[in-house]
Amino acid sequence: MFWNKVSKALKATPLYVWVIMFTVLPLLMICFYAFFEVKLTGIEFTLDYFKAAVTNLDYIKTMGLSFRHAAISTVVCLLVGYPVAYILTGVSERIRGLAVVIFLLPMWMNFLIRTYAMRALIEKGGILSGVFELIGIENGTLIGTDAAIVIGMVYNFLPFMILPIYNSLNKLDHRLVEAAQDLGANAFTVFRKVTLPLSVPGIVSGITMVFMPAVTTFVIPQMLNNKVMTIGSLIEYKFKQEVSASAVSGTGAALSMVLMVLVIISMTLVNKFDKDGEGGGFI
Amino acid sequence: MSEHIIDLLNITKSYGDNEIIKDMSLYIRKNEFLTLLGPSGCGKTTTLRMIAGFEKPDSGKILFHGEDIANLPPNKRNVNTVFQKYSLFPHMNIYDNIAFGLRIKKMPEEEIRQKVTWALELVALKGFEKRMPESLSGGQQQRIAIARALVNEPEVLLLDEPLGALDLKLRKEMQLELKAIQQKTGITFIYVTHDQEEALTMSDTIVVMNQGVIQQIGTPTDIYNEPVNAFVARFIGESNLLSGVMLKDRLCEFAGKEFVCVDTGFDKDEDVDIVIRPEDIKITKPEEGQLTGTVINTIFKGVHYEMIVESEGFNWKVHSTLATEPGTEVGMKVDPFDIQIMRIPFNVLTGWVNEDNLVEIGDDKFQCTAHGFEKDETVSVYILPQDIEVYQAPKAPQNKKDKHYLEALEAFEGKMEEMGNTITGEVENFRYKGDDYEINVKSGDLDILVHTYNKVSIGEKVTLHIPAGKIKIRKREDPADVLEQGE
Repeated sequence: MFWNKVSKALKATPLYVWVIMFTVLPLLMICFYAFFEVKLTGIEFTLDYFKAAVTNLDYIKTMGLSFRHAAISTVVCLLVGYPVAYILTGVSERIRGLAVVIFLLPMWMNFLIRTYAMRALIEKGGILSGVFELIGIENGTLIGTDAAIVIGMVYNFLPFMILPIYNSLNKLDHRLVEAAQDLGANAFTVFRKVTLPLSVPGIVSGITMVFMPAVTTFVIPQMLNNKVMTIGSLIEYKFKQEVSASAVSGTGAALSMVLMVLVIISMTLVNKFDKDGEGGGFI
Repeated sequence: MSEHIIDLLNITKSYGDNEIIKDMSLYIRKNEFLTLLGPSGCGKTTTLRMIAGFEKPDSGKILFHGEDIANLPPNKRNVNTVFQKYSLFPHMNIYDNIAFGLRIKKMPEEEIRQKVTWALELVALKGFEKRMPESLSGGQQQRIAIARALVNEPEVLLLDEPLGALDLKLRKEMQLELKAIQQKTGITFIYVTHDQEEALTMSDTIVVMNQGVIQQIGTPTDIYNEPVNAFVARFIGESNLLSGVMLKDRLCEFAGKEFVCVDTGFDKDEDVDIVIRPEDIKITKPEEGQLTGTVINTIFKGVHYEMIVESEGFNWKVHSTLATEPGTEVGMKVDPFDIQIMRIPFNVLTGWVNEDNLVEIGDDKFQCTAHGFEKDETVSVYILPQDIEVYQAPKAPQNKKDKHYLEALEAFEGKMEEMGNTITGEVENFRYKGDDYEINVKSGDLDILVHTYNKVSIGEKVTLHIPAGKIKIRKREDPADVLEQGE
């Protein structure tokens, strides 16, 4: 009995090592840097970094902007992704396989390359430049606009919305649809009262999987609109700046923690909709 | 006779090459409890789904009060279905599940509340309104499913093996309950099951189906006491099934003896199937019986003993309230009205007319007498099981390359080819019927019933010869005159 337990624990060792090295330790380090200052005289507790992170108006604006971009992108992903997932469950087996591959194919490439490709499409003198000029967009480019950020994020994160929704729609028992029809529901009512509510778990995981990376991404905004600072860029900048000044970034660490708490709160709110907790959501 | 509520007229339905329903016609009367009964794959569920609107027939009409609804979607039909696996909406509580149909009809909430309460009372589950479906037992969920359908007050309630997932005791209770609900509400029930006992307990009318064809329609008593063919007799209850000959009106012969019976209207010396129910055989002293035999086995079954009595080479199944020791000599008596005489059913196969007097069945061509058909016309081919001759290839010895065996095999194959009109297949199963064997031969997609004196084994490859004069060809549309029989 005892040795059984020991052997089980031993088998899980690689997992523990992994979790400790790459999740627990970094988190503790961020905590440490956020609350302590390393000086020549020793280690000192401080709340200054935190104060800065939550009171600096520029920081708060940046954070608000990032949440806004992420929210808009998530909504667009949902509006595009749900119909795609719904159509995918309806088509024949062969077409479905092909379609899933088409949607996943871009995922097999590095997302930097994907974003560069997107940039080439929408930059000044780019492939779509003529079209943009034609419809009266300034300079014939979207680079430098909020739209560019949203387009870039939707392009990168859409598959993460489609797949969980597709999975939950695919799992849906077709007999429930028949039961609803049998009770007098037309196609729209069946969707509204049966299909949609039963795919909520998929929607919740889709939102989670799009919103979280969208809030924190800094590469996409930097490449498509370097006029605005997002929270991801800000944290990156803080770390880079202060590290180069041979001090570890307390502000960056504090900002990371604030962001983490805010993300956890928003995801908890979203998860409230998924009563059964089946969606494989965040929490 | 009360009026027809649903008429199925010449319905056919196939999935790919698989013909599920073959030219089926049936009517359902108002307020009756009708059961579609048959083994799995007989087309009973497909029939129900066509009435519900989930499937469309390939051809034929479904009349509802005389109006064709074959192309009407399910939500526009005044029928409701109780599904085999309940199919309650998992994200709604019991109240919302039952109210689903009423809310679609935009009924005022107060009226909905009254009706839901009524429906819950009907299925004896009052107070369950706030519960979620998953917290209910299987039996309770099925009752909710029934309430959810009945609350809409449909003219017809369709039930697709609704008790299939319940345990025996609960199933028996629910059978009585369902029957009571049907009588109380007066709604027409169409019930699908493969359980013959369930069908006999609940139904006003039973429709026995096999391989997409209706075998018999009748009251439970009719179906049990007077099965029209061997399939129905075997499917409903236990029976002794024998081959016999109708010597003249009210006199038949089986098991080497003559018996007085009550049936008339057969040809002189017509081959027939005989069914005698185990409970209709009376055990007597050896000298008083019409048949004598030896008890070889006795099992206590609770209410009665089931005995196997060997007589004239046939193992008779007999039910009796008195036990008889194995090894005892006994006599057996059967009353004339307990002898059920049945015509032997035709094999109905699909064929294509190749040219005059040549029809293609499966991959084989057969000589026959058929004039006046178009080339390549699809026809129905009728063959009586007793008209088919069975030929068995020489038995393979240990050494499959044995010279004598190979010669004999070659001679056999040559003979078969010369004779023509043959089809080869594998024996799926066989039953001894006192005189001859009834065997099922599977050849490609065809399932052929054959009566033969040859002793065969399961899995054996046999060659069937169908004499040209015994093949009857009919146009696809009118099988009626052949089925009337008497030819």
